[in-house]
Amino acid sequence: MTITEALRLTHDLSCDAQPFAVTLACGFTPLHLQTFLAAHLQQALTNRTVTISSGLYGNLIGTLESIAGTVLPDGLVVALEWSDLDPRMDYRSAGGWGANADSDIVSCARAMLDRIASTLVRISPGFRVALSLPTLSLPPLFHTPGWRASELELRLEADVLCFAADIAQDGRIVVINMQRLGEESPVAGRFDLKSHLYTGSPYTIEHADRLASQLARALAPPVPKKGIISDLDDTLWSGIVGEVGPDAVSWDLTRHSQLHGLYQRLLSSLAEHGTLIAVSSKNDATVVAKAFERRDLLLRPDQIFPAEVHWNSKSGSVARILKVWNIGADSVIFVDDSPVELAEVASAHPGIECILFPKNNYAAGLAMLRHLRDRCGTEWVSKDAALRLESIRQGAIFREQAAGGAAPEAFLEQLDAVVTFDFALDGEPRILELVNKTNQFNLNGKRYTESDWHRLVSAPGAVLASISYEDRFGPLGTIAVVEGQINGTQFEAETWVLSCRAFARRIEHQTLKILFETIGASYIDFNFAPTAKNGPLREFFATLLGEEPKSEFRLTRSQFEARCPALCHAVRKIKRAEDHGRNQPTVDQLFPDSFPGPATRRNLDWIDCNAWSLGFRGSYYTHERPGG
Amino acid sequence: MAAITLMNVLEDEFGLEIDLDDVADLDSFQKIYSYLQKRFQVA
Repeated sequence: MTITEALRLTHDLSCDAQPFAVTLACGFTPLHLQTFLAAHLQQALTNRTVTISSGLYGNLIGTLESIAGTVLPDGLVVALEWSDLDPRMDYRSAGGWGANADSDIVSCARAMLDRIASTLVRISPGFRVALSLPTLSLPPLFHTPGWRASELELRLEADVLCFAADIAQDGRIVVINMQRLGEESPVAGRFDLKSHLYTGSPYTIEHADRLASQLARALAPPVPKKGIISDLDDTLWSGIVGEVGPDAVSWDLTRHSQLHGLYQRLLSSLAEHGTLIAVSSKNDATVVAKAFERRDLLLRPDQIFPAEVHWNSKSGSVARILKVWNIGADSVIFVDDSPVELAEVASAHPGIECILFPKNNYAAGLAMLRHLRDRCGTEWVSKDAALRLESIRQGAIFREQAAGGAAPEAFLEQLDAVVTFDFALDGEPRILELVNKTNQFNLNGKRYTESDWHRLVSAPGAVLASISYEDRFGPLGTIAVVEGQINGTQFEAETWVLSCRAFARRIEHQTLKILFETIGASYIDFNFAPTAKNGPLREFFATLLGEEPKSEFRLTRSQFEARCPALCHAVRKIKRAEDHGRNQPTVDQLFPDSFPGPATRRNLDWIDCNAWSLGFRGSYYTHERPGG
Repeated sequence: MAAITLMNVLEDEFGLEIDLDDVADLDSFQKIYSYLQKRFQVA
């Protein structure tokens, strides 16, 4: 990106867009870094107007301390450099570099790192922080010749890395990958001494652009892909299994097919963290089944679902896989070694990302592996991720059984389904992740940054419920989120998402039932907006309203009760806020009219309240069976 | 700082490098215009 392009991006903005305010904390003149940061963020946040303010020159810690504990803007970017740790490491300073100074500089730098770390952890929750470690080379201040690293220099670098490792434990603080930055912005091309001495801006334009790009990505990361559909022959393994046989396909060093082994290892790792993996192959299914019996496979067969192995078109296979996964083509990557197959799938499924497996090009192979990790990698490990593939596998069985024979009520009654409502998990990253990646059952398709979300759920009167589900087919994990504002006995739903994995279980009905009963409302207002993908939600409301909603609407309790089918779930426990170690409004504050119990009853315990009359008072986990 | 940014935009647009030593003198449209004319004549 050039300066001209960056300025154009930040100047051609809609006046109506919601602002996205970022504080850039750095000790130097931000100049190009600020311009490029605004431009890259603007590219990522097209529906927002990005504004950036910077702190005082030469006083990074002062900037951080001035904002810690205050209401922050939407994001904070910290561009750390050596000069922020000790002014003697600044080329503009007149401080000495003598023998006595060396160890003192390292000590002072360590103390400053501690001070920065303790300030960053005081930043209010709900705000994302992007941080870069020093990107410029150290000045030649240590006694060793430049080709040799001195002990003090190594200690200084070790201190910075320890600082980074410690603060990275805080999920809100994203430390950018300095190795990746090194690939995109070579060290030798980063520093402009003349610019630094004349203007206080140390970065070359190219480096400012690359660094700003990484920081913007850390602050506003792209939505990860949900699944990978892979070919088998000459992709998952080397060789054509139908020709050479199941025992002769390979993915190892000795047969120079290690690239396929690396690909399998990456897919296995992605699967463990929740990426869906499926196979689409034109092959004889019995031969492929034999190959999957091999014990040396690095991607376990149980990590793959579904496997479309036959001689029909791959676009048809992809369509069936997407249907089983119940996600859109734009959430998926298709990998194949055949350009023809890639083109056929791409034309049938607009939006799908197609990648050619580079059989004999190792550099391209490495780039592909890294690209797949970049597109599918997760920011944190969620326990729900491990459940995802198994729940889809069980979901297929669920649909088969639901469609076969028994009446829906009879089938649902046999599920032993338990729906859990939890009102005390507002800081759980899975909740915002679910809101931001759910398309089909989504009230209005709104996407939120962490700061947007934090503001929403911490507003007075805000109610947030995460909903999880399990039945005899297994747990689905956290599959729904409802968020809105309560005002007396009125409820206005601003957010409602339900994972497509949880369709057809009447969880959406149970959610409305619980909301009506708990709030005691005669109606709920829904801040609905149609999107290109939220057809399932519109269809659901059409069954209650008689027609699909077109814009914001109101659902009355009588409308709901007249058309709500029989519900067979056990509704289980609300975890108390204390269980999550945070202070939440009490249940009496939120739902004052819905409690038969004394006014001292505390903390979102309204299911317990139902159980209270049944004698289960005092248990953490309470059950309310229909008719029980 | 706006002056530095303007110089960078001129560098982008005209494909040349402007020395920071020259920036302080380029404080009007006419001076910038003359500077660019000279640079292109030299080139």
